[in-house]
Amino acid sequence: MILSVRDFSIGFQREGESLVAVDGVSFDVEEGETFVIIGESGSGKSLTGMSVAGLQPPTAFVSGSIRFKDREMLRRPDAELRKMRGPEIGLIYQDPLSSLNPVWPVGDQIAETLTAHGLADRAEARKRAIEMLERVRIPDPHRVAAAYPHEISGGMRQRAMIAMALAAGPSLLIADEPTTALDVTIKAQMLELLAELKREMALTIVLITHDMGVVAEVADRILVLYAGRIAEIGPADAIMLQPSHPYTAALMTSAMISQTPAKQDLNAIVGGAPGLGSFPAGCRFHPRCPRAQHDCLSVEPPRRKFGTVELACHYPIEAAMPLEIARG
Amino acid sequence: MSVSSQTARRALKRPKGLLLPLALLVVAILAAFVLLPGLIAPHDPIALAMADRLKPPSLTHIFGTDEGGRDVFSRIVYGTRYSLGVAIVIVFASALFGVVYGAVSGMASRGIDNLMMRIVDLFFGFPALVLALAVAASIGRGLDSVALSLAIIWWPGYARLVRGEVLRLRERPHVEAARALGVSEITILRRHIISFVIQEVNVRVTTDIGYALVAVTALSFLGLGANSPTPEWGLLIRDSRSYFGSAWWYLVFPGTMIMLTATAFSLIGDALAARRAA
Amino acid sequence: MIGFLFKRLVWGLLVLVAVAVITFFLSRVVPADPAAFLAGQNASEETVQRIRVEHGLDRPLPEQFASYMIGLAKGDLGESIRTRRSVSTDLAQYLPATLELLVVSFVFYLAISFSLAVLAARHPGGAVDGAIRLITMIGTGIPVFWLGMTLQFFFFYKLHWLPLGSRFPIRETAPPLVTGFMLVDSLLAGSPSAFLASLKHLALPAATIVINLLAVGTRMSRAALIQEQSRLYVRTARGKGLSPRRIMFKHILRNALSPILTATTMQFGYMISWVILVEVIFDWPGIGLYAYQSFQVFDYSPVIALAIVSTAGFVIINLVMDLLYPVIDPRVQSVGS
Repeated sequence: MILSVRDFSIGFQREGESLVAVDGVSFDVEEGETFVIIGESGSGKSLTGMSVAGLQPPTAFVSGSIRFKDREMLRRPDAELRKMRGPEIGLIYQDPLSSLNPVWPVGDQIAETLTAHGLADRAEARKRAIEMLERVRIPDPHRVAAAYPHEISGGMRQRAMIAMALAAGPSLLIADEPTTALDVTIKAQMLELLAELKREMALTIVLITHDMGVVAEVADRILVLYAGRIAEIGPADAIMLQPSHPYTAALMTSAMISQTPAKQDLNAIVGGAPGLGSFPAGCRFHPRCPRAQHDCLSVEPPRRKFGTVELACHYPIEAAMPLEIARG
Repeated sequence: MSVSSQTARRALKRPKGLLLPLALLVVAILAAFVLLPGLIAPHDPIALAMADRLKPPSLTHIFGTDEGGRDVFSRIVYGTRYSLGVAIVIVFASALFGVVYGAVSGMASRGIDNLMMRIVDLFFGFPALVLALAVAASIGRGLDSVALSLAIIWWPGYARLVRGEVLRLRERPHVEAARALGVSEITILRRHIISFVIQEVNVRVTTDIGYALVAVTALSFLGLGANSPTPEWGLLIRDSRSYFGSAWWYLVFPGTMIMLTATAFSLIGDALAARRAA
Repeated sequence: MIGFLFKRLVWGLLVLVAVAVITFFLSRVVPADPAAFLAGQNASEETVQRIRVEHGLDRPLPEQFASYMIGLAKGDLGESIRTRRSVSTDLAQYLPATLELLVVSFVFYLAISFSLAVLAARHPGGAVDGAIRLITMIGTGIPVFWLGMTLQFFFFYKLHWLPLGSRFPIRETAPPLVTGFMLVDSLLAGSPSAFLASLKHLALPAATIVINLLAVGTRMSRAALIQEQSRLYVRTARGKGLSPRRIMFKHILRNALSPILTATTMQFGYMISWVILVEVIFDWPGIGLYAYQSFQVFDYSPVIALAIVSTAGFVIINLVMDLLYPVIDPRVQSVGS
């Protein structure tokens, strides 16, 4: 178990009010698996992912525990966390053009991951940067290394960002919406690349997305997040074949209904996700849930186990009685 | 965010609440100086009184006296008309010309617009003070010469501002609608566009008055503008040069007046801008 | 790139031509008697006549204009009645003093401005940030000439720490003239006391300019830095485990250079105007004081010449800045202005 999150919460103070964006989330990530956190915007998925690396907003209040390789990450001084980012945890993001420094050549930015951590001197780091660019299947690594971000294509930029994140040989890669800004054709390539790299470099991947297609392609295990709370969590196959939470089911349906992959997002479900500060009481999904009953409006559903899957729902689909109550 | 920086931020916000009323008060006082100097100034600003020369501030002369025994406060009061008055005239004149120029340029065809803007760009390259010096050399000194040079410096700013806004607004839906209804271009300009632009211009005018004041006083300080014994503020500072080592009030009060006035107009301009953005 | 440079060069020349036309207008067309204008108020009838002939002031205007422009192209800026030398010679003599003042002021300004901006960006809304906003607000209203005199009042009249003006103590001999920069020449002559003396004389005039520049410029640098700080590549840099210092200097500052450069160009324009005031107040023997002293005795050729020269300087600076843009920001291909 490389990552262990227990009862993790994030909140913000806005004009005197406390707003909780992520509420008591717990999950484990096994070494070598691709763990996908799926949710709409505002679900808290990015916050959760970023917090693993200690990159939550500085104004945020956190509670609970995040243990990476059995080391507590929350409340650790940033100076220590910094040493881990790069060599142990790598991150990639949604928009490679804005996420790369516009005035530096790409190769230098990759090399910086190594030189900043003292893992190589400048000459060695430059060489390794070229190697990394080859590893992410860029055909002309020398040209790309000397180029500026705006001079190369979007797909290559994303690959370069991956190269930058993996240059120092981390064991965990956190990918925050890595395919959202990409073309359909490139999306598939990117996911394939990630899968290959995972094998080659013995990575564990935590992938954050709102795109069901991504889940279908690469996920080993899924965490479905809604309005800061876990809706459903379990093996990807099990959940996709037989979604038990109404929200997950709706996601699946809308994904399958939309013809083009680009529309495979969650806004097809009726209504919109609640914003921070206006979360409904009880089960947060109840205003949009076709199965909602009286107690859904006031009682927060506890997390229960259904075979290999855990979910938080009073009236899950296929209402088999819970076999055991899982630890929250 | 630490608690201390939060409180610091709040503390900084509160004085701002006081600043704007203070600025308005300053402007009101200045208006009084301009309109009713005789009522406010306790002494004659021009008449010499050698017996009282270079006296420090006292109850009879709250800002002290100058080398001619004249009350510095009274001179400042009467001087408002010249310093601030000229500044206002300059700003309004250049704004007027600049707005018309910019509006015409904005509504004109690409080619003409380009040409007109090139001319504006030209003006931006000239260092203000040096040009004023050359103009003063050519047509003579005095506040009118100063006014002319500064107006020449200032109008391009308004032209550019207005032209930018006009360009932005002339393709807006409500303008298109009016055009479709057959309203003439001039009327469109007048009714739909100018009313928006004027607000923007007002903000600039207010802030510029402060800057123009500083420029006018600077030129008078160099001897280009007003002449003795006109109690123009820059001239006062110039006259103080020989005495301020010991007669500190001669330097401090006129200078503070300039600073206060410029800052006040700046603040009001900022407040206007903030209100527009809201 | 070349095309862009060429366009800017042509534009710069156009500006210079425009200034030349304006100065021609001001010196030959506007005055009732251009010869008297150039000869100065106290000139004798012979001098006026001489000037009239020498400068061809009785020729038709187009011819005058042609010879004026040709003269300018050759570097002929007229003659100073006061010093009885060609203005070009005078300017060459006084230029180093002005340059020294400007360069030293600007370097100090950059250093202080950046430090303040970095501090402010680190703690937005904090003490330094608030101080900067306050200084900027008040500072834009302070007349530079009044600031200079106030500094004189405190540091000379009250504290006796620094001299009232001029470049070097009167009673001592200045180091031998090599570059014209007093600081450099003192070092070259191996005289630390001369260096110190020059520094003391430079302090107040430079401080006046620096303070005024800070008033108009720091807000801009601070805003640029704060804006860059919120960009996504900064988040990426943090994700790479880079230290805050590294991020600030290698990433944020580097990206903020472009907007800061634009603001700096504007500040050069201000500086040129301030130079005259500062030189007059501190009796600093530069081209500003030279032109002003000529102006006072109705010797106008130097004034006209200063207008041309300072505009030329501004055009050159603009060109240099334009050259720097593509170097600083590789995204800028060659898009003009």
